[in-house]
Amino acid sequence: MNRAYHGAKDQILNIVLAYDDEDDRLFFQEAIEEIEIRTRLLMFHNGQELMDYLAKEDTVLPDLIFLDLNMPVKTGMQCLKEIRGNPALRQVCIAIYSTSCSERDIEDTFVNGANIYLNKPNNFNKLRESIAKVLQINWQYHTSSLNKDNFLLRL
Amino acid sequence: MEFKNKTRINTPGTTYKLALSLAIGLLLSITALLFHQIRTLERSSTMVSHSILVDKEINTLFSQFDLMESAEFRAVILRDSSLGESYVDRKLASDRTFEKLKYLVQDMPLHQTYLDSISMLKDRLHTTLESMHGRLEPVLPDLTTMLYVKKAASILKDLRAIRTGMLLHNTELLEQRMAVHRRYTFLTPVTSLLLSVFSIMVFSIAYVRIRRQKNRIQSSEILLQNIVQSTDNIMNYYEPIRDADGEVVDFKVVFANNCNKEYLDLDPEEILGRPVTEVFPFMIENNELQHMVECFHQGGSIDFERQVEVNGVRYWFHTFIKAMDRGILEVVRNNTEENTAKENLLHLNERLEIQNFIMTEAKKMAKIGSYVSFFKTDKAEISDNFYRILDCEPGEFEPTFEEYRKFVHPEDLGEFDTFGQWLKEVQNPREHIYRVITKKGRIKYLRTKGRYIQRHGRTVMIGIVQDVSDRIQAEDDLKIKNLELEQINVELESFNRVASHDLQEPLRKIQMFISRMDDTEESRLSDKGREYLEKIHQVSARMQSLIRNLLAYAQIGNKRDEFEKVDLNEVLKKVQEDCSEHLKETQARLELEKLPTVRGIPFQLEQLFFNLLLNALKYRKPDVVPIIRLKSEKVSHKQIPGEFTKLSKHYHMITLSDNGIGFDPEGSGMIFELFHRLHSGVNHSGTGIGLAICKKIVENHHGVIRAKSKLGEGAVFIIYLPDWAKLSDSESF
Repeated sequence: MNRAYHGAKDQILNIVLAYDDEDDRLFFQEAIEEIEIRTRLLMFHNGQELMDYLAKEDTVLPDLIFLDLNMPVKTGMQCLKEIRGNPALRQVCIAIYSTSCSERDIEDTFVNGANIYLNKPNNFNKLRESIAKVLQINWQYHTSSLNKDNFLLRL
Repeated sequence: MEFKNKTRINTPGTTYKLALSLAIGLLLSITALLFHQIRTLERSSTMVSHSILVDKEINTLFSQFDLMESAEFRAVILRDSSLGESYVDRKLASDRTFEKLKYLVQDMPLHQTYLDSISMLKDRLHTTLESMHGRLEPVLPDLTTMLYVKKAASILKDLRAIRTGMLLHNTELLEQRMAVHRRYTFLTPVTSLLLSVFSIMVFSIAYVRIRRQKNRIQSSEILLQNIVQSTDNIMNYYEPIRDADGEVVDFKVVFANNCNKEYLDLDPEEILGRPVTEVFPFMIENNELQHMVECFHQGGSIDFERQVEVNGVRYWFHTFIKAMDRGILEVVRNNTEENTAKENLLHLNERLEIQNFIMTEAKKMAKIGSYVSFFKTDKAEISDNFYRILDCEPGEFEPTFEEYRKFVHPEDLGEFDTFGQWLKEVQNPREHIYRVITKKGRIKYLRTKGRYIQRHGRTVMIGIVQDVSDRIQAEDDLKIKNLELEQINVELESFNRVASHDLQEPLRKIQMFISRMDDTEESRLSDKGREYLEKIHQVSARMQSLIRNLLAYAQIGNKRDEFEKVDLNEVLKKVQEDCSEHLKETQARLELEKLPTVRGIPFQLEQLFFNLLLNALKYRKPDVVPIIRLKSEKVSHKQIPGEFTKLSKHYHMITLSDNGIGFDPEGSGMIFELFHRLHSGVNHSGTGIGLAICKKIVENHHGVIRAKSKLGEGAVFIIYLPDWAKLSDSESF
């Protein structure tokens, strides 16, 4: 069916989360652990840490980056622009994971090359479902048919 | 024109007159000469014949003498006394001839001396011959007789000598006279020939001149005729009509040009010969006839203006009348346009006066003064209101540059001088605002704008000043207000940020923890604990919706969203999807009619109908299936009740009606106010923001929303949105 799903059986999905709030990182971690997909999660406290990690030579590029917009030191938007501006990182899939549901943020991130926009839910089950859905997306297919309508993830 | 022409003909006339009299004089003198010559010729021929007569008489006389002597001799020889009688006869005849000759030569002195000698010799001859006659008796001639014969022969010899002299003299005279006669017989025909040639010449020249003159007169007459006919003035010539006493009572038309037809619609051919009072009745009305008669008598010319109505159109005519020899010439110019212009000018003047008055008043109202500055002389004129602006009486101070400079605020003097200098150099209008301190010590801001113009060859600056203190004050106030507003905006923005993120984050986390507790700890909670958890869940949900609604409310009209064409049918489709759960839950029936396409912001319109729909479902009657009807029609702006700024002539009236619990009509005005709730209780847990958002959205779309209801009879919401399609391509808001 889709590659991510098949891949779950024989390979581990490398996932990176950049988020400044500890509680939220915990929720995310718990949610991802409950999903039946083999993943390796790396978490960073802000955008700068993420970029530093990505810049390291021995870094194995992640399959998917979850990026919060509102972060100290370096915002998610800055990270997005830097990643999309770097040819070596250009292929990495990026999911925006934010509380903001403002049209402007959605528009801006879309224009700057994010792959999907995930609104932070206020219910753990919804969170888990959202993450699962994102992980199950066939990114090759999704990227080629990327448009504004399916950019914002709806459950 | 006409008079000029006359003088042109007259000037050569005097020359011709001179030439003519000269020619006549010449002719006369030649004729006199000819006459004289003929007379002389006559006289000379008389003289010639006279000389011939004298010659003949001389010969006669001397032949008589010879005959007389021979007769005496014969008598002596023949002793025939009877012969003596023939002698006497001869003697008498010779005396007669002598007397005749004497008479003929009375004017000729030489002949007369000859005649005197002849008379003497004749007497001696007679004496001798008579003596001989006495000796007739002796038969033989005696000695004495012989002596007498000899004597007589010598006398005769003398006489013959005289005769020769006389004849010689006479022949000379005759030759002289013949010569004179010959001369005159030659001169006279030459003179007469000259006379006739000259006469022919004079006549030919006269003829040519007259002919040419006639042609010229003819062409100038044609020219005059053309002028008279082609001019756009009426030109008429009238001759007086007199009554029995010889008084001029009227004029008759002798000549009229085509303009009569043009202006007065009178055929010039038809009015010829008719009295002017009949042709131009208005002449009596305006008492013009009297003027014309006076002008005719006194000579000279008069002119006046007259207004005449022809076929319902009023014309102004300027009439010029000039007395001529036997009549009067009338020239009428149509100056309706001039007079209309004059009238317009008068109107304009009146209006100008009014406008001047308004201007003066306006200057006072607008606190505007004006000035004219003569730079060369440092003199200026400033308007009364300028004095008033400076809290002075008009004319209170001499308006020189230096005097005025004293009013300028010391802090602005530098700039004032710089500006003055600049204006002098560049001579270009520019605005300048500076402060003055008036006579009463008030500080006023004056705005001035001056420009250079040339007046009477001098460069002067004219300009206006305006007391803009109020405006400056208002601008300052506005600046402060603007700063305050900016501050508020910044605060509002930060509030928005706080509300959207910082406030929602903790709340969301609380909800998250609740959901975790629900999932993992629910079984361990007591019933009470579970109830509390449920309450916390509800309260936090309500808080979240409050925050979201407030944010949504604040964001409407916050940024300038681009209006686009929005199909409301599509909007409703989306809204139905969004609240499908609610619809399913309440089993509500939605009756939709075709909705229009409007211009607006799609997500706001979605929010509008979403809120209204939710509102209708929320306030449904508990045991009745909710029916919601949505319809639309076009109305004119006049049909919209209440006051609001109507941008468009046509509006869409969209009506959303339900069969819910409705509300008290008294509350219809307050229903759209923020946090205003008409219903209370658990069943109707509104935030009090939903309809306020609706109102704000509709107003953001230049529309208006109204609500009406009766308690228990359902509610009707009416939305009026501008029909921009009717506004030709208007994109401007």
